[in-house]
Amino acid sequence: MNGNDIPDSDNVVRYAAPSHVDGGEILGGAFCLRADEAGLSINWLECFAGMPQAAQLDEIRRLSRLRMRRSGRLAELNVGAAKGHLRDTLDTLRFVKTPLAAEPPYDADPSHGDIFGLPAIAGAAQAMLIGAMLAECVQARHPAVAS
Amino acid sequence: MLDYDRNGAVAVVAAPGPALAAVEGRGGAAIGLGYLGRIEELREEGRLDAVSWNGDSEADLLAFISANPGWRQGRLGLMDNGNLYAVWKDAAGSLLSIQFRGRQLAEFVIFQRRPGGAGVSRSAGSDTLEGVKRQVGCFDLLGLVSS
Repeated sequence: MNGNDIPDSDNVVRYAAPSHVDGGEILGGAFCLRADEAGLSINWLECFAGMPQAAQLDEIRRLSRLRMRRSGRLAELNVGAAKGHLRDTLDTLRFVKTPLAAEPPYDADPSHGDIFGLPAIAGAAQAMLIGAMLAECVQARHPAVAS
Repeated sequence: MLDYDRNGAVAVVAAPGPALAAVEGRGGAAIGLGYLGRIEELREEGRLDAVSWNGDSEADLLAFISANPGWRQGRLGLMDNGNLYAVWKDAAGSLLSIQFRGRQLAEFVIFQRRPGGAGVSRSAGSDTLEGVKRQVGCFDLLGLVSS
C-alpha cells in the first residue's frame, strides 16, 4: 500500500495550523511546503473503511504525530476534485499513501499520506498560488481537537 | 503588546511593538484592533512552532495597512519562513493574497472572476508593494479590497 495513489473518489484531511486559520477560514498557506519537506502531509479518511466519518476523524486525531491545537482545523479535500481543479495549472499533483510504521511512543498510522508534486520553493509566488487553489477545494472544515 | 479577548473583539495597545511605533512615527493612519490582535496571535503561534519572525515583514504589513485606510480588513497568516501574509477574497472566487517579505517587496497571488461566468483568471508573481497596488488597479480588484 505504501507509495500507491489514493483513489480519486476518496477524501483526505490536512491539518491547518492556527497560523493559517483566520476567522475559521483556512488560508492558502496551509497548503504550502516547508523548506525541508518533499510532500504535504495528509490523512486518508477511507483508510478506516466502514466507520462513520466522525470515527474516522477521531482515529486520525488519535494517531497523528502532530501536536494539533484547538484553533487549528482539519481541512477535508476530495482527491479527484482537487486534482481536477489544479490540472491546468499543475499536472504533477499526486496524493500518495505513505503509512507510518509504529515508532514508540507512536502507534502505526496507516492513514498517513502525502501530496507530492507541489512547487518546492517555500514562500514563492507559485507555491502561494497552488496553496490558494487547494484552499478553494476545501469541502469541509473539522475541529483539529475533538470537543 | 496587546491584551485582547480570544474573539479579537477587544484589544488594548499597552505598549506598541517597534514595528507599530515605526508606522505611527511616519504619521500612518490608525491600524484596526482586529489586525493588531491577529498579529499578536500569529506572533504566539510562530513562537510555539519555532518560526523565525520577520520583523521587516511585520513593519511592511503595518505600513501597507496604514497607507491604505480604505481597504477592508483582510485575513492574516504566518508563513513558515516567518513572513506575514494577507488575504482578501469574495464569494465569487476573486482573491488577492500578499506575502510581505520586507524591504517593500512582496509575493502576490491574484484570482479574478471573469465577467459573464467565463472562469477565473489566475496570476502570481513578485513585485514591490507599490507594484502590487498597481496590479490591484489593473485587475480591477479595488471592489474586492474596499471597505
